[in-house]
Amino acid sequence: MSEEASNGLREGGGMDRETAREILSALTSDLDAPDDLQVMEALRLAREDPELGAWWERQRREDATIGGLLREIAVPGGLLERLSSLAPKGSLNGPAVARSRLGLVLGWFAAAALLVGAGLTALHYAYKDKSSEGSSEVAGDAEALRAFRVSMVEKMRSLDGFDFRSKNLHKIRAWLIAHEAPVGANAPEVLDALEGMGCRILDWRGRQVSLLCFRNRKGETWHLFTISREVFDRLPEAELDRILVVDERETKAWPDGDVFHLLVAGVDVRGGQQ
Amino acid sequence: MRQGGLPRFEEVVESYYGNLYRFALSLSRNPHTASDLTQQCFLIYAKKHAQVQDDRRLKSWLFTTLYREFLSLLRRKERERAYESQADFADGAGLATSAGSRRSLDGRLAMEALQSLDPVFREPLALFYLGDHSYREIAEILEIPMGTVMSRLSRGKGELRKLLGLNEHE
Repeated sequence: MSEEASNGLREGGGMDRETAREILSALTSDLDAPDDLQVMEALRLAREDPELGAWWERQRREDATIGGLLREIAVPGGLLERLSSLAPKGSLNGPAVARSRLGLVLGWFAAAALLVGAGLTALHYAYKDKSSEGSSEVAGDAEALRAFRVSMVEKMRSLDGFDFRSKNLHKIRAWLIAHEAPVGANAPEVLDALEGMGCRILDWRGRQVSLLCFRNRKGETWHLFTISREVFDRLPEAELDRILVVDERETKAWPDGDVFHLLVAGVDVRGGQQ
Repeated sequence: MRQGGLPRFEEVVESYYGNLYRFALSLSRNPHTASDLTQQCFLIYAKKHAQVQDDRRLKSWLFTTLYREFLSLLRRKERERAYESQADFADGAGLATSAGSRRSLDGRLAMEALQSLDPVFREPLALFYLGDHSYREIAEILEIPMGTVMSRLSRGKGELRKLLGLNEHE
């Protein structure tokens, strides 16, 4: 294969399979270059040529595996604090921006809505009234939630096993309840449809945190962290509407009765191998 | 996407520091150098964030900045010597055997395999896997033609798969 991609044409004018492979190898998704005719042709070939299509599918699975493994590399402790301390005073403290890939966010909200159920709306408004009081404690809780998000993403990355494993989320939930770990008051119906993986009881600032791990319908692994709600009792309302990206994982937090949930999304690469 | 103001500095850090560090680690092969490069990258961002006109370009801006800092470091230390002296990890020779089973694959092994590749393959691959950058973005960051990026990604992935024992179906 040459350093510069050739025009890759077969006799008769079509793209050859080797060139199509080279182009497909460079794509992070089908939508990388909708205006690139070479890419469009390679994608068309992958759809019409079963062997090429199977090859690309395998490539994508393996790419997801490799990317996921590389992202498992732990970041040195204390680096985040050192980096955060570089913040220029007053110059970059504008309103928060929710940066999110649309597809993931839509799937996210669908799952979050299912998980929380209709009760969330009522709880949200009840919470809204409470959070309008305004005090330094409010800001403190927002800061604590931010720290909680970062800490849970770090714990997720360094997780080395579960305390209890099951594909049945109801069984996982029952195990957590039996061990007096924080869980939501109601078991959402969606638990029947999702595939559980396992759970673990963690600690954050002296409080128990339940980690429930499950796969969504696309086979992606999501992590649901649950902690006592009193930890963030005076959280500003705006914090509930934010999807924050932490170490390139999208996180969403919301209250549920006497607990607080934090959902961390992300594609599980090992799931793709199954 | 910009929605009403600049992202807070802390949010930018939290969003990107992990994969910027891993990108720096893949380039430098030295955890301390990787931490320093990541820190230098955010120091520059703190001073020059006004240059980032479009939030959609923020990730590319950060990876480009870190990459340029790495190149500056190499120039200071002389490229070949820096590469050799900073090889804290095992070279690729033993990886094919140890990674022969998928069960043994882990992040450390994958990073070692990536680090053992020639820089012309390693750099675009690291941006592909750790930054989710498109080939166009990779071409801009590395300042090489898009066709070259495609070719290097394709060949580099083949090399990486060999080292990781993922090419049994080929």
